[in-house]
Amino acid sequence: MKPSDIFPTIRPWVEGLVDVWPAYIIKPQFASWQVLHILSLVVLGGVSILINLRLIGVGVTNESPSEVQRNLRPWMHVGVIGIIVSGVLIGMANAERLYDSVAFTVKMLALVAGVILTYGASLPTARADGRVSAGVRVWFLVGLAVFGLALFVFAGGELVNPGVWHMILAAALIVLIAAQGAAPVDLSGGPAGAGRGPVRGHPFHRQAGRLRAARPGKHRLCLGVPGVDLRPGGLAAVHRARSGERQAGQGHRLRHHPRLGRGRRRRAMDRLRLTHEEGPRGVGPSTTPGRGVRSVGRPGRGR
Amino acid sequence: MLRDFLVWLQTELGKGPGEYPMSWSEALLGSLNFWGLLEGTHLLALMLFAGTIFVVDLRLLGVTFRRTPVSVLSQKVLPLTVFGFAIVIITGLALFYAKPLVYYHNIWFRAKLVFIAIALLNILLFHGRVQRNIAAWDTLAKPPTAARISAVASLSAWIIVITLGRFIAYDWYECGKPIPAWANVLQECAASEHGAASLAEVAQ
Repeated sequence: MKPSDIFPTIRPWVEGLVDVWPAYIIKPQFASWQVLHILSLVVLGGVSILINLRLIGVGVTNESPSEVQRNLRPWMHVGVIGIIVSGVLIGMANAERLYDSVAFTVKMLALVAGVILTYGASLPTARADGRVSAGVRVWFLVGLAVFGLALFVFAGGELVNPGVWHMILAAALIVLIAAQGAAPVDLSGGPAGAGRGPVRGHPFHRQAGRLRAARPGKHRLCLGVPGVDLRPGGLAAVHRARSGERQAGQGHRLRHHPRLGRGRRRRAMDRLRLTHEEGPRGVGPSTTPGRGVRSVGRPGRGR
Repeated sequence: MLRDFLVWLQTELGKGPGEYPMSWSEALLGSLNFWGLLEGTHLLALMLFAGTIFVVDLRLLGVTFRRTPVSVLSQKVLPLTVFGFAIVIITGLALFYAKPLVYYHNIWFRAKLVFIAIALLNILLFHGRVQRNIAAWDTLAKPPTAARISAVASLSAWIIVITLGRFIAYDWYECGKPIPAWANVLQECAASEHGAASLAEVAQ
């Protein structure tokens, strides 16, 4: 789907853009303006990666998300304004080619999605240290819809669609990063690779052990679970709920639960005590240098 | 000698039997999708690499993250930078491999290599000399002059590297075209398959 397919009647206007100010001034210095576009892209990319990685608990974790966005927000503006201004200028000087380009349609849709997701969801969430408001949810859904449309056009665009590979790879990397610690499988390895396997203390740890005992070699099936585990309220959330202050509250509720019999209550208390002895992950001083308590994001790996 | 090696790399390495045998380099250049994917990956990795190194440089200049110790920010951000740099280098080498002779006789590519060397030298100087007494200025909002000079050098060098990288795509100084004598000398046009054409001689 090219811009010429969407707006077929504006071709004469597009063809005349190159003769309009400032396009005819830009044209001779086209390469220099392209450099400005790439530099803006680099600033935007670096800042966006750092802010969003912080939101999933990676990168500059010694600072709160609000502090990270406070420091990087001006540079985000520089990057966004830079790509839009330089993009409009080089776009005017090269309008005819872009008018017949599917890649340009994808780029514009992705740009709109990126701006919505950044200013509507990512920055406000970082500013609120991870608290997600109703407005943010709405903008997130709108941004996601536009991004989905961009991907749809991208995947269907002849000759440009191999680029979808980048999206798939990026998505896989994000899942890998986000799944660290929250997932039932420790993907980080460990000393001499000894740590690969279900994370100790995770609800799946015992389950994987049973599976291993029952069907040798088939326990790797649980590798597919991280995606399910990342659902809101999924097992990762259940696991997080076990930690810290909630533990005391749970003990109190169990002791005074009106419907629990003595046997069930004792067994539940034993389970809770066992969890407490294993230690919640992500709280308390970390044993890994440079990894402290994180105010937002996934729990630490814990070994 | 280097040029002979590049000629072998471009035209001979991986050449098989058949009516129209292609070397691996020619096959890579002629691929429908792989070349584009390599370029895309190079640019995306550049965003990660240069984008994160700019943030550390801006901290050294006292512009951003003024309350965060320099050592802490470096420790958190530089692993991402190194990851990006590794991908930039791998994809850059693959892109070079597709057209080694074109790049060898390209003035912008040669200048780019010089500035990459300068940027890497600056990193060595920073870690070897400037950072030696980091404990004394780690938490300062505005680090000392030596650190700020190093940051300016880093920012300038990488911006120039990116600029020269973009200019490689343009044929302003291509061998075989009438170009100034100094450009012919700097990119060894006389040894290229297109030869050297002097702008002054053509003008006469």
